[in-house]
This record gives sequence, structure tokens and C-alpha cells, in this order.
Amino acid sequence: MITSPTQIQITSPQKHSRTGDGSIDLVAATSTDFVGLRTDPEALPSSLSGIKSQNFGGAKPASLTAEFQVSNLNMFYGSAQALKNVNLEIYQRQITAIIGPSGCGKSTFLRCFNRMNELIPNTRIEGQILFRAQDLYAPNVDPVAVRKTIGMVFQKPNPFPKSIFDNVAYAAQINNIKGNLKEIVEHALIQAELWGEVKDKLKQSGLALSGGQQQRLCIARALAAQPEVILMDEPCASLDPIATLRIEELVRDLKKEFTIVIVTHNMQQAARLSDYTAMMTITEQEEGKRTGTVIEHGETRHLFTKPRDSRTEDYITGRFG
Amino acid sequence: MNEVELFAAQRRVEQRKRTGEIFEWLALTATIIGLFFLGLLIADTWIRGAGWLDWQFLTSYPSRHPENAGILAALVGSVVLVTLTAIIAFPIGVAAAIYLEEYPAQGWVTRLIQTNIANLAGVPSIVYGLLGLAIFVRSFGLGRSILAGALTMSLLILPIIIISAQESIRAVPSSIRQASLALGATRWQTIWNHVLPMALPGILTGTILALSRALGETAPLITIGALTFIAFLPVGPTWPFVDAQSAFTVLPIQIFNWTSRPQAEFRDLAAAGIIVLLAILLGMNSIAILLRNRLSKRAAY
Repeated sequence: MITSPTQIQITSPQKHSRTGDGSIDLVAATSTDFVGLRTDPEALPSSLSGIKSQNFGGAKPASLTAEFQVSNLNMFYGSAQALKNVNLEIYQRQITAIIGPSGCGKSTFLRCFNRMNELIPNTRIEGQILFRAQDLYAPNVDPVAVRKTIGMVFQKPNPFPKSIFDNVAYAAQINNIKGNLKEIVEHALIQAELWGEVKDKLKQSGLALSGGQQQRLCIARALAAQPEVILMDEPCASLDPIATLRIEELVRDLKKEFTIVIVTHNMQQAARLSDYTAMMTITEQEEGKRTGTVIEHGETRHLFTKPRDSRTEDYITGRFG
Repeated sequence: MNEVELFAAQRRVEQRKRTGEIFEWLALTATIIGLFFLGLLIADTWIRGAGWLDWQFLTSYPSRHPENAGILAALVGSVVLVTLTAIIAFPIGVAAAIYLEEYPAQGWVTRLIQTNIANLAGVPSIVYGLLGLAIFVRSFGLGRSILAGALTMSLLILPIIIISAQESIRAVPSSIRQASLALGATRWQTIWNHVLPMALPGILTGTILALSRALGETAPLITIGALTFIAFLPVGPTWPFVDAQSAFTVLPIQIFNWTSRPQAEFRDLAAAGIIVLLAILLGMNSIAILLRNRLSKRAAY
């Protein structure tokens, strides 16, 4: 197992310790040489070297490491294809926005990264998603470990009907995270920029908070599981503009420690917030079967100023969608 | 719109309103009929039985002399039977409901089980009695014991518990499950920490109502051979102080037995027994309501 020491210290010092050696163990077995943090391109299994990531945004900047490499991803609900031939790289500690018209499969795509789709019966996936060179869908990878490592925030704030403290503590407890529970909760709430507002009422119900606070509580909860990546599925869709701005500021801060993938309907938000943007759209297959695919991906400032695909241009200028 | 059309429209509106009023009266009448006869029954029972209700009635065994007869054996028998039934049926019913709701459906097998459970809830209770007689009394050799009775009753109310528990589990919003699973919780952690606590008020309500039904059942117990004249209690000398092998009787059987006696006094005794049975049923239903209110307040926080 090749674990590069530089890679281990991806977290800031005040972050709580993870698994002993700092590696991310997605697989329950201890002696898996196919698992863990690997940055060496040579260390990739030879079968993967043939796959060329179609990176619509041109060459990847030398300073960035790929967090996810999606290649030839197809996703099916029963016989209906929801995603077709998606190729994409997502970079470490960058904010990647996924935009596109309603029903183009943005959320479906996002849920492929933490294997939430397979909770729905009859879903099927083809192709590959590499997370730091580990295939997320390899047979020895446990989806529970994937979801611990790759956290998620949902469209509608969904705190548990428990106290603020218990909401955050639960994430740490189920994942057996070592350390003082109070400190872990406090740290997660500070990271989610909620601590100041709730520190005197940790015993109160999470449901008593305002919508924006509830969403930050959900972010704190996701952080308490000590993930590497945070997926956000339209996290501001049900919030007012001020609460939205607070979440955006928070996301910008979280970028220092986490890779963030955010689905949004709001193009201004994508433009304000993200470093990279992936544009998805619906393509009509034979007789009315509609599937989503990524048509353009690149640095946000390029994509919004000089879109190469006419459909992207139409969408961001508001001509459709 | 000219004046003539406006008045025509108004007439039609009045007609519709009248139809609504007629229906309201019909519904009210139906309600009153139901309540009236229930009230009549309770009043009749109370007038006949209330005079016999005293400490002696509650603490005596049956007797050939009405003034000495009491309900102790049946009362304790009913309580022990319902308790045993709850201990057996609750965990099995809830576990089955969790399996059917929370673990991914295996297509037609699950549908078949589901359909059968719904049908079992409608099977006449005497059929369960025959089943209990064949399996628990004979095959398992439990004899005409209170344990055989409780097992039979468990079978009888299991479908009701499963269906009500399934409904409560289904009512837990899926966003809660997703939130928990997305944090890296296993399915069981999600069920134990979120789904069950939120579904518990509904599950308990359903279970208590099912147990109320078990309390009132007579036919299956007569089938498996509950006795009608018992002068001892199904209790043992050591913890848990219940002799599950003991012969037994229950309130409805005792009441039935008294109503078939020729002397008028025994019919009054039966009325007194009915009052005791109703009191227990009302008590159990009140507990169900209280539990539901308290727990759902806690679940909603």
C-alpha cells in the first residue's frame, strides 16, 4: 500500500484524528493494497491507464490533484437511462458546481459519488468513479465507508428530531470517532459557523432553529463524521437570500479543508461560488427517452464568459432552462 | 349577466346548499343511532351489575352461590394471558414489520408475504383456536395451559401488530433515513436510532389496540380448552410468579358461563363482569392514547 506522507496531512492540525495512520479505509479488510490514498500515477492499476478522462475544460492545472475521476459513467433507473457517458474530473479542495436545467440528472449524478443511488431499488451503474485512485464501485468497497468519507448535505434541511448537540454527536458516534464528544461537536459547529448562535442552547431541538441555521446544523453534522468531500444538493434552494449568503460564505471557508461538489439551480450562485463548473443537459434519445449528460466542464470564469457549447451559452444567458 | 340569469344561478346554489344540509342531518342521525344503542347497552349493564361490584366480587373464586361468586381467577387469568401475549407478539410483530418495510423488497416474495398478512388479519378467530389446539396443545404438548392460550392469541393479533407497525414505520419521513445513511450509518443504526424511535408511538398504539382485541376474544380459548370453573390462580412460587403451565380462564369466558346459568342473579354477575372487562379495556386504550401523546411530543421534540 503506497500512502504518500504528504497526502496524509491534508487536514488542518486542529482536525480530529482519523484512522490511525491517516489513511482512509474504505474497505473493512486491513490488507488491501488496492485501497487508500495514492497520488502516484504509476501506482494506478494498469487497467485504468488506458482510460483518458475527457476533460472538457482543457488540460488540468498542474497545481491541482484530482479527487474524483469519472469515466464513461452511465446510470440507470430500471430500464430508463438517467446519465449517459459522463466523463469528468473533480479537483481536490476546489468547489465544483453542477448546473443544468431541471431533470437533467444533476442530483442523480451527485448521488453517484456517495453511492446514495443504490438505496433506490433497481438502480444500476456502468463505468467508473475513482476517488483518489480507488474505484468507488469496486466489489470490496463498502458503501457505508464511502458515505462516511464523502458527506452530503441535502436540498431541504433535514435535522433529526433531536437536540442540536445530539444531531452533531450522532455523526461522530456512529462512525466511532475518537476523542471528547463535546469537543468534536463544538469543533464541527464552529466549522459550520453555527457555534456562536447555538452554544447556549445545545439541548434545544434542532428543529427549533431557522431554516438557514438548520442547514448549517446539517453541514456541522456532515463535518462531524470527518469526511474528505462534501456533496451539496442545492443546499440553498429552500433558504432566503441572507441565509443563502451565509451558506455560501461557509462553503468558501470549507473549501480550505474539503473538496466540495455543489448542485445548484442558481447560476449566479455557481458563478459566485465555484472554481469549476460542469454544465449538464438533457439529450433526447430515441422516442422520448431523455437522459442527462455533461456537455461542458471547465473553470467557472471561462465557462461563464466564453462557453464553448451553444447549449451552455443558451442556458447561462437564460434562453432556456 | 342580466338579472334573470343571476337569479337562476342563485336558485341552483341554494339547491346545492340544501343537499349539503340534508347530508349533514343524515350523518348526524347515523352517529346518534350508534351512540344511543351503545349508551343503552352500557346503562343496562351498569344497572344490573353495579350492585354486585364490590371487593368480595373482585377477590373471590367462582361459586355455585351467586352471593359468594367472584371473578378473581378470570381477572388474573386475563391479565396474565394478555401480558404473555404482549411479550410474545410485540417483538415478533415489530421485527417482521421492520423487515418488510426497511429491507429492500425481494419482489414477489415480499408481496406474497404482505398479501398473506393482510388476509390473516381477516381470518375468523375460531380458526386460530383450531390451529392452537392442533399445534400448541397437541403437537407441542403444552396442554390446556395459559401458555398455549397466549401463543394462540399471539398468532391471532400478530397480523394486526405487523400491519400497524408497518404503517408507523412507513410514516417516518425518508429524508431522516437519507440523512442518517449519508453520514455513514448502517441500515441498522438508522433503524435503531431514528426510524424506531419516531415510529414507536404508532407501534405502541397499534399493539395496545391489538391486545385489547385479545382481551375480548373467547372463541379460540374455548377451542383450546380454557376452563370455566377455576378456583386457583396461574401463579407460581418463584419469579416471575407465573405458572405458564397452569390451566386458566379469562373474563369473557367467565361472563359467558354466567349468562348461561338459569338463575337471574348470575346474569347480574355477568353484567358486573362486563363492567370489569370494559374498565380494563378503557384503561388500556387510555394508556395507548397517553403513550402516543407523550412519545410523539418527544419525537417531535
